This record gives sequence, C-alpha cells and structure tokens, in this order.
Amino acid sequence: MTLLQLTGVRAAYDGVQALHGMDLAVTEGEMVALLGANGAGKTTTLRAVSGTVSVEGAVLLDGQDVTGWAAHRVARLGVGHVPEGRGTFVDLTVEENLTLGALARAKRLRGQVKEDLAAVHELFPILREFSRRQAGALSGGQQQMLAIARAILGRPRLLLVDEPSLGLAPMVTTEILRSLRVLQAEWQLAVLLAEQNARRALAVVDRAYVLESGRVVASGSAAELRENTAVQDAYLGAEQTGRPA
Amino acid sequence: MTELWQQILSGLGTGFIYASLALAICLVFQGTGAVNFAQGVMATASAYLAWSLVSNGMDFWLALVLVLAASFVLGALIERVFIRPVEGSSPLVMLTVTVALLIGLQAVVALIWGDDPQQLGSPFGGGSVEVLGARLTAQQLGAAAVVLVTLLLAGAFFRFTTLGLRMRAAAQNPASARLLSIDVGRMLALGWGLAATVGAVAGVIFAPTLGVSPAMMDSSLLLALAAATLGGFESRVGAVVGGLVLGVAANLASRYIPGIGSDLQLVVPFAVIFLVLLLRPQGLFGRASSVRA
Amino acid sequence: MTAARTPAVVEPPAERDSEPTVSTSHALPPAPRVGLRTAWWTAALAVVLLLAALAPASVISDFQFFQLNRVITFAIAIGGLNLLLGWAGTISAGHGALFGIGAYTTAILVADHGVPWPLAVLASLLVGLLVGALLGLPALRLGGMNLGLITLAIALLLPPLLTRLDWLTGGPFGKTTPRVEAPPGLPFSSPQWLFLVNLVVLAVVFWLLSNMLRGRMGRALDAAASSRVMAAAHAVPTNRITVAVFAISAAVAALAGALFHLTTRTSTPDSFTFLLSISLIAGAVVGGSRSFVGAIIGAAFVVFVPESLGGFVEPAAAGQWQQVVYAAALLLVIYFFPRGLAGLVRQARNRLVRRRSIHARSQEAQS
Repeated sequence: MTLLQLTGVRAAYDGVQALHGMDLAVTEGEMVALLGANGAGKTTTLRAVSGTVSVEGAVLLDGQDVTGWAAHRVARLGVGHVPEGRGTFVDLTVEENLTLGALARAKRLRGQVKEDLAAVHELFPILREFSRRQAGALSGGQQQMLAIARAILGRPRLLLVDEPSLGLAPMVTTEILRSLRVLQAEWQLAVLLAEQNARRALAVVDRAYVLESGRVVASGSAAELRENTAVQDAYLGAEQTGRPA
Repeated sequence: MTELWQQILSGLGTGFIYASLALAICLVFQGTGAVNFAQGVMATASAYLAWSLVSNGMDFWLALVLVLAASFVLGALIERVFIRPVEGSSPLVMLTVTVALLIGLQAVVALIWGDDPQQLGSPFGGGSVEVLGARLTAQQLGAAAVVLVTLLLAGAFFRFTTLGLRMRAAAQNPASARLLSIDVGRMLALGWGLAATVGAVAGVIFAPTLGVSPAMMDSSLLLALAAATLGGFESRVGAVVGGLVLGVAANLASRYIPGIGSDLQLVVPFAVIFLVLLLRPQGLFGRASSVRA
Repeated sequence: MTAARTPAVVEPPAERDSEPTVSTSHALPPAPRVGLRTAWWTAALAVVLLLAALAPASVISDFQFFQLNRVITFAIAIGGLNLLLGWAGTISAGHGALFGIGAYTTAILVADHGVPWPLAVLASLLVGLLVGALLGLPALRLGGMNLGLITLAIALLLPPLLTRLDWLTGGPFGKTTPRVEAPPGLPFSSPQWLFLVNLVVLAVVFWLLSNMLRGRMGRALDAAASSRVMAAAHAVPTNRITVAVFAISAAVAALAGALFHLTTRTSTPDSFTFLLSISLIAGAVVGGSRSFVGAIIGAAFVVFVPESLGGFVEPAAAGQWQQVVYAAALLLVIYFFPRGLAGLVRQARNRLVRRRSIHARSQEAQS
C-alpha cells in the first residue's frame, strides 16, 4: 500500500521556487530513485517529506497529512533522512552517533537495538572498528556509511537518502548503494534515493522518477528507464559529465 | 610556603564560583549561541529565593533543593519566552537580549527583595579546617565540595545519559538532531534550565560569603565570562578549568603583586587570558574552528 | 509560496538605496550618490541650526538642550561603535571606557593645564586613536567574541583605575571644568552653544565615516566580514583594516566622550562603567547597527526611554521600574525590528518615495 504520497507540492527558498507541483508516491518496502540534474528539485523533495522546508500542497504519510509538521514530529512517524552533506555529529564519537540513531526508533522496537546494531556493524565493519573515534575524523565515505547506518538504526519505515555518491569514489558509492539495497530488502523499508548518477541508481532501485525544474517529467520502473534512450538523452545524459554540487 | 598554599586554596575556593557560572554560560552558549549576560543575576535571584525560605525558618538544604528546582523551571521558562523569538539570530542580537534580561531581572530582584544586602547563615557552621597546613573555613571547604559535586554530576549527565547525549546532539547540529526526532526547542529550554540550576548552586552555596544583594554576582559573572573565553566557549571542561585558574590567579595577584589590591585584581586574569588568546585564539580547550566544517 | 510575498524579498534593493554603505555588488560605482547625500545633510543641518538658534528658552529649555547634548554625544559614540558592529563584524564591550578616556583627557587638559577646550577635544580624539590602535592589535589574532571579551577588560578596569590614579584624575570626585561659553557677541546660552558645536561635530563625523565606508575601506570590510578567506584570496589586507577600523572607532568614541564632558562638566569614575558600554551596544542594536540615522535613534532611546517613566511611579522604586521598562522596550524593539528602528524610518521613506514615483509615472502616462 502507499506509504508516501506527494500531491501538488510546491516549495521555495528565499522566494526562489524550487518545486512546482510535485506528484509522487512510494509504496511500502520499495526502493525508488529521484533522478535529475543539479537544481532539479531532488533535495527539496526529500526535505519536503521530512519537514525541513516549508511547503504548500499535500504530503501524506501512511494516509496522514503531515504537511507543515515540524521535522522532529515527522521523524517520529518513522521517516529517516540522510541529508545532503551527511549531517553527522562531527564532535561526537561514531558510537554516540549510532546511539542517537537508535534512540530515534519507536518504543516497541527498543528491545532489538543490539541485534540491529550487530547487523549494521556486519554491513559496515569499519564503524565497529572506529566506534570510539570522533565522527569528524572519518573519511567522506566512512561518514556516509555512518550517516546511513545512523538513519537505519532508527528503524524508519521510509528512508530518504540524499546523494550518497557525492564526492565519493565510484567503488565506494557502489558499495554503499549495494549495502543500502541489502538492508532495504532485509528490513522491508521503503527508500527514496536522490541521485545524480542515473546509471548507478537505476542499477539498484525498483522504480524512479525523473525530475526537471521542480517537476516530474518521466517515471517508470528501473528497467524501463534504463531502456528508454529518449529520457536518457533528454534528462539524464548531462550528469555523467556533470559537476558535483 | 604555607602562605602561598593558603592563597592558592582560597583562590580555588572563589574559583569554584566562576567555574560554575562559566559552565552555565557555556551550556547556554553551546545550545543557543547566546553569551548569557543574565546568568549572574539569575543566580542572584536563586540566592534571594533561598534567603527568603531560610529566613522563614526552612532548613538550608531543603531550601537549596527547592530553589534548584525553581531555578531550573525559571531558566527553561526564560528560554521559552525570551530567547525563542530570536532563536538563530546573530550573536549581537542574542547578546542584546541577554543584556536586556540582565537589566530587567536585576530590577525585578530589587523590586521584590529590596536593595539592602541580606545575610544568609552558612550551613557549614563557623568552624575552620586545616588542609595540609592551610587553614580554610568550613564554609569555604563545604561550598567548594558542593560545587565540585555539581560539576561532576553535570559532566556525568552529559557523558552517560541519553538525554545528555540528545542535548549535545541538538547543540552541535540542530538540523540533524531534528531528523533523528529530537525536539531541539525542548533541548534548548532544558539547557537553559540546567544552566540556571548550575548557576543557582553557586549563588546559594556561596551566598554566606558573598552576601545576598542585587549586585552579588556582578563581578563573578565577568570573571566567568573571562573563564569561558579562557577555556574556549565550546568546552565545558575548559570553562571549569578556566574558572579555577582565574580564581587562583586573581587571589595570588592581589596578595603578591604590589599595588594591585582587590580593586585591580581583575588585571591579572585578563592579562592571563590575553596571553593565552594570543597563543591560542580558540581558548585553552577549544578546537580550531576549521575542524567544524 | 507565501514567503515570496513578504516584504523581505523586496527589501534588498530598497536598502541599497538608503544605507550609507557600499552596495552589496562590489562592481557598482557608488560615487555619484555622495553629492546628493552631502546636500541632504547640509540642508538638514542648516535648518536645525537655524531653528535651534532662534528658539527662545521658553520653547527649548536649557535642560532640554542638556539632554539633547547627551543624545548627540551618545549618537556619535554609537556611530563609531557601528563601524565595528555593523561593518567589521566584531564587537567592543569597551566603548564606554573609550568614551570615558576621551572625557577624562579633555577634563584633565582643561582643568589642570588650561588648554582651550577645542584643543583638548582634539587631544581626546588622538588619545582615543592611540588607545584604539593598541587595543586593535590583538584583533589581529582574535576574532569576534574573543575581542569583545578583551575589550570587556578595559570597561571593567577603567573605573577602579580612575579612582586609583587620583594625582591625575582627581580620584573618586573626578574632575570638574568651567562652563563652555559661546564666543562673545553670539546670543547663545552655554547648552545652546554646545548643542550647535555637537551637531556640527556629529554631522562632520558621520559624513566622514559614511564616505569612508562607501569607498575602498567599506568594500574591504564587507568582504572581510562575509568571509576572511575570500577577502584574503582577493588580497584584502584584513588584519590591517581591522586594526585601523578599531582605532578609528575608538577615536570617535573618545571624541564623543570629550564632548560629553563639556556638557556635563564633571567626570567621575562611575560615569564610565561597564553599564555605559552595554548601553552603547544596546543603542546600536536598537537603532540598527548599519545605519547612522540608527545611531541617533539608538542614542535617543538610551537617553530618554529609561527616564520617561520617572513621573509615573512612586519615587522609591522609580529607578527599578525604569529599568524594567527599559529592558522591556529593548526586547520589544529586538523582537519586532531585529534590524533596528532605522529600518522603520527607511521603510517609511521608501514607501513615500515609491508612492511619489508611481504618482509621477501615472501623471506622465496621462500627459
């Protein structure tokens, strides 16, 4: 069933319109990508869901209208957000960062923090090794893993992930995306992944939306979009050589 | 030698006042980014409250507990009412708000309790104790012990409790904290409440020495600001150490440097800070800001 | 999106018009406006001078002139402080002390050495410049907050020092100088005459400062305040400029202090406490720290608001109620006008100008 539904969502920063009526839906347990160039509105869409930008229109989570809710209240409904720039607490240790993630989960899931932490450590062994280190001392890729691990430990029903590949080596990105897919399947969480690199994203997701100037211009299953050269050329060609944000 | 030891110990004694106020200032600064000039007068209000209770026959320790609870509520309330509207503003705006709080609260204290200085009896009695050859009053020793325990408790709270961890997270990166379902606004209010409580401990426990008057915390506040600068506003441990160092430095200076006296004893702590900051602009315990990117 | 409709979006261009500062776009040549502004100031000044000179004592009493003189001297000091708060992006918690140093310099020179007061005022300015440069040196190493707390030190140390050095300063009783009289032949009382002098100084100082800020210095400061790294990359000598600005700001404060002494005639150590320093900061924020009109508004606020309630409450607690009202007023201004009251004046003027231009345009269209 539908977990997330955006209808006619509009958002602006300082008077500059970033979303012009977004419509999209994510069903429970599926992994969906938002594709598009810089400034297409990927980040803003994620922020519209997590309540970190003010919006008009309707954002429904599991049928509940959360438009205009404060971010921490949206998070309590089971929305995890790995923000642009990762947002790790750089002065806290890796362990503390993960604890904060686990503290964000619903009360009934508190009992299984240990097992979940073990699963996360298995997926990202480096986080166990460096658990006493300050998060700020980790490399970019390690911080990205930390950010995802932290969000996942909150046991969200919907996980928003913003450009995990930004500034990372291709190998690392592939590894991170693959881990994300494993977790997603294992814990049956829905993932909305914003990604500039269409090819890499389409390799792991079920479906994707293609965004341009704050609107959805194409959508379909990953397979369809991989085949569709017209869409590829029109909207997804540029970012292969595109600059990082 | 004994004389020097004596001066160092009594300097440490007053240093604890600065240390706890500095810690309070640090807590507020880390959370809301405001240098709270009203921290001292908030502690003064707590001291007056304690004086009212005790002079109406209440036991000192019971009064202390009640006052601490009241101070916590008052601190959190001040954040909610006065600071919330300017949350996220420039440091200058924040500073002006706390200055307004200082001016207003000081007047309110005087309106409620009057201008006349009051005396609060020491809960430790009038005796004195010998510590490794130096003579300290029971009040000096007891007050220092109480503050020390408070500081340790505060440290443990931040280090070992999940609420403390949440507060640290909210202070450090409010945007990320919200994404982890932390109610940042509530954490900030808690931070102010906690700061007010720590300040209140100092205000009440040192009231017998300082005397209870609207201006009782004025010079302590300034030294606490200096201590926070010395330690680096980002570091709670630094603020405490800074307070103790300044207490000792000021005491030694007024005793041993000819012509300094009690009116100019502030020269020395500021000279110390000046030198430290020239060498380490981020303070003794602060981190260079480039790391925080 | 509702945000698009709020005036915040319309604000920036309007501000560029009216601020006596550099435009945000560094490429714009700001020079042509100088002439117009100068004309404005001169005209306004001439009118005020004329009015003041013509006003008989029954309209504006000597006491009121005395109050106005306090406002003007505070305004000058706040204008100097604005250099730091509004442009250099740093803070001074010691401008009250610099103000005091200026006052004492003039007091001592006039009372003990028989120096004519105009020369003494000039000397105050130079002493301020010197002290400011010495204080500004640590600004080379210390940014914002730390510098503020270092300047706190002089705010705290000046009063006891003034008390202590009684051979120079007269100790706790301070120094008193004779009344400054108008030159023979001019029909002014002493407060009236000082009012004229102060006004002229205010106009000259603000004119010089705003010209300075409109030139290279202002651009460099804006660059430095927004990003030290960027400024350095564009070869802006950030450190030297910070020291220079601190020295100038201090000199202006000392000058204001000297004039303040001429008005009050007696300077004592407790006239220049830490409280004065924070009042000056409050005045700057209330008025708007990037505006010289704001400096005047802020000074008026600081002088008049605490006193305005005097008659309404029982005398015993009057001082405290004044303080409460002052604090409340301060908070209200900050909550509702976070960029200072000068913004209000600016808005009103812009609205007027806009209406006029719309009016003109519609007339054009009709013809």
